[in-house]
Amino acid sequence: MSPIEIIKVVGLGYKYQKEDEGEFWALRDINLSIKRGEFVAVLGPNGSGKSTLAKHFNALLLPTCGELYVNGLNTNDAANHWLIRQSAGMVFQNPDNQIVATTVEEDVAFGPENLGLPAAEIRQRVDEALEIVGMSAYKKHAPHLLSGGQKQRVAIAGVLAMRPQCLILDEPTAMLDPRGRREVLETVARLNKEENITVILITHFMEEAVAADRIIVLENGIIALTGTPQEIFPKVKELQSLGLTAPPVAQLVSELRLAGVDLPPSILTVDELVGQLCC
Amino acid sequence: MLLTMENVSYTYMPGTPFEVKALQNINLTIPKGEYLAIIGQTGSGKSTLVQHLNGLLKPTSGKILLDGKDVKNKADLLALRRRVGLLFQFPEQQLFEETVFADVAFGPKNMGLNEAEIKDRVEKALIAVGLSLDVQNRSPFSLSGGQMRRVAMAGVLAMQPEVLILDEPAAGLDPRGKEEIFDQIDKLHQENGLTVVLVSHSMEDVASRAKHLLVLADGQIKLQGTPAEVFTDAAMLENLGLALPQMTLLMQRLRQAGQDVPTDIFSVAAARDAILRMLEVQ
Repeated sequence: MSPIEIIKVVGLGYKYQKEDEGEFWALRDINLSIKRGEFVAVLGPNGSGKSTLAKHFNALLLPTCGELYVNGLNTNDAANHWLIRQSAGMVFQNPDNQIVATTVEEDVAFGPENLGLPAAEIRQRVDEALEIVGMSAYKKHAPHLLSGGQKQRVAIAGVLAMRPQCLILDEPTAMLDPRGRREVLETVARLNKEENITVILITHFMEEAVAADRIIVLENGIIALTGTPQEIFPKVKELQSLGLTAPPVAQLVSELRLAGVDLPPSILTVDELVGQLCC
Repeated sequence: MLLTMENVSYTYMPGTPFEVKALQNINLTIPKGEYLAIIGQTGSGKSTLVQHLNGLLKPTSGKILLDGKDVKNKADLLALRRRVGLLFQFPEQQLFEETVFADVAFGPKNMGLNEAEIKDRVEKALIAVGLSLDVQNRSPFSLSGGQMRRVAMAGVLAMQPEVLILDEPAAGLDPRGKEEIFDQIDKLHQENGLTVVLVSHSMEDVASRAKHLLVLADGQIKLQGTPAEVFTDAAMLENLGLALPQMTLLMQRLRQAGQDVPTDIFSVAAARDAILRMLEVQ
């Protein structure tokens, strides 16, 4: 495994028992390599295997066949799990299920406390993590009185205090209002750009994947498409057949091109399109 | 007027240090056949408001009127709950019976209907949400997330309400699942004349589906009107924690750049036509 790779997946398959239909392969023959500092978005319809794959990245699930390496450590070896979970932190959909303490700072301190770190080090990590997600002013607040976006940022701070190299987010904005979504996405983008943390974002919101370096589309447990957003989103018809929709701007550009308007197919944002149409 | 809220205020835990004024002086009328969407930040009072519309919460002060008649006693409340169906967020978590049939039949059974009527209502409800009747004898827990949500919706429809309130019906669904569930709601609205009240965080969905919008902030109505009326002031919406739909934003930016385009545009198709017209004029 090369030092620039943080995650490597080799021939991974995952099988579980379904009530009526017997055994079911949720993932089949997944091969994947994720570089340090990369921002990868994972898309796919419900039941395509996105969350199952995400849970493999920090050894919450173990492959039925094949291997997954985090920082060169094989998740199949239970002795590695502690180190793997420190380097790959996970944030889930519902912030209410992830918050355990009665004040924001205690919640963020939960992870580092369990690492057995000295008090001064915990203090420093908590302050730093809250600073990064923009929640320092709320450190004495009760988490349950925060907005959804604020709670989700506290959950992210809790993972950051573990100083992970890789952040895995499983639909972190599904329950948030527009402002909450923006807060969380801006935080994630900043962590990726400024702190060089590898980000794996699983989402149903196509617009959220526009900022990613690479998109992976799963369907029925296999990788159906992979490429940059500029490569993937112009494939409006192909995405539709996978049960997905391109972001509105990409759909519009595709329709305008069909109507004979001369535009580059790779436009994904309102600003880019305004620039093209008004020059 | 089918449903009216008159000066409704609601306070959680009044007289304690945790007192929260969740709604303040809400005045709202919902005529028959309305498709109303309620938008607002988390904590703005959306869920508290809709729980008044089917009598789950009683106003701290003010009145709820059904057909112009004050909802006061128990009989009024029962009528309100029968005529106004509420589908909560993630309703699939409330499925509990062993078969899809039993789950959807739960409401009609409690209404004391006979077996033939119950069967008829269950079948109609399943068809209305786009499920095949083959699923009736399956366990609801063996279905996909999107199917489970439809079963929950069928359970509410089997009560044959006149008003259907949906709290984030598409949360967590993939784009296709989302389209399907909204198309079903549109169909019920258009073909069966069902009055719809939708709570959603998706500006695109409310702009393209609802007839009227209500913007809540801090328990008060800040704006109301058609999508075209509400989605005009980007700065104000942003202040309220909301946003413009992408296509509306695009049109506003084109206008700011000196192009003569309409800004009451909410769908990709409408945006395409407007831009093609703009390019033709040039």
